[in-house]
Amino acid sequence: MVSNNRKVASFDEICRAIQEVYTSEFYTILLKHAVVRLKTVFNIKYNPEKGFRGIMVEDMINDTMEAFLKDGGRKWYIEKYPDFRKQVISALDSVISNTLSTELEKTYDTFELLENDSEMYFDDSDYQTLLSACHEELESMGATDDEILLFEPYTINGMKRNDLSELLGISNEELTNIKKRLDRKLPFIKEKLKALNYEK
Amino acid sequence: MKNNFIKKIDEAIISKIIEGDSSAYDEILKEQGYNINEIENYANKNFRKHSFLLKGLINKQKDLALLEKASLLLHNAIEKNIDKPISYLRNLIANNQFQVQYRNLDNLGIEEIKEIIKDQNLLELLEQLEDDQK
Repeated sequence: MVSNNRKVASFDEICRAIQEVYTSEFYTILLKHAVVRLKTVFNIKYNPEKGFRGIMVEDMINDTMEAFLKDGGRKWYIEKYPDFRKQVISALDSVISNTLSTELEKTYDTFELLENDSEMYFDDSDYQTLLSACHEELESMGATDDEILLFEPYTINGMKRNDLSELLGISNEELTNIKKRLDRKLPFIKEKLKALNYEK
Repeated sequence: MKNNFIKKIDEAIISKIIEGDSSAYDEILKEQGYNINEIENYANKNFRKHSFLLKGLINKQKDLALLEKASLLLHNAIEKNIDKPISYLRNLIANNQFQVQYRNLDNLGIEEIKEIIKDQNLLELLEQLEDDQK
């Protein structure tokens, strides 16, 4: 099937994928992802018992999954997301964003993260400037020199563990520990980057 | 370029959790004061409830798809005047409360056909219809 010139999965393919990937482990990942996203994007500390103003994370997850099955609901773009789980996460992000934006607009709240931070202006096309902005953020979050050093080759260039180990002259074990510490900071760096303004 | 950076960071985060390594999320959650065990138990409880409902929804949607397909095939059979499906439909109408409503098969629309066949074994019916139309 094709939608807007993009190949989409059939109903049967979606059913098969759901039956395959929708497990307790994946549900837990979705729940953690949603709670972390509420914090990093909207600066909301989610209360699992009360939800946020009656909005429950589990309802957003359930709605996301069910939308894939409903006529005219969400599509699975199989070329963009060969792994259905990534399509689900992308859909969940958009459900969270739409739900929260609507809710926050109702009360003119300004939960957007970093709203009061001083704005930085930079040239969007400048790789070095963007990299420096990320490094500065990492520094402000207390990242070590090793984490800052690893950010570009690991996160931006996607280098493999062995190559990195060789390049930086550190053991795989040490590398794993640095990566773990760096990974923790990535959701915040991402949102900071999104909030930055730039001059065209 | 900025979007490219964001995309790369996103890919790194998502790939990690898809591989089953949620340690980065766990650390963030712990820093926020959450108990990871409680979060995982809460997720398991909700998953059990929802996976049951989702299975029901999958079955319901599958039945709707079968009903749609069978009704279309029957509608085509009426248009092409294929004997077997037409007598099958006539029998169904004769044996239930639809007798008065649907006397003329030529005027039957897809929705009306759905109404007539909805309680039948749709899988069997589809196999039969596909054979009849070969």
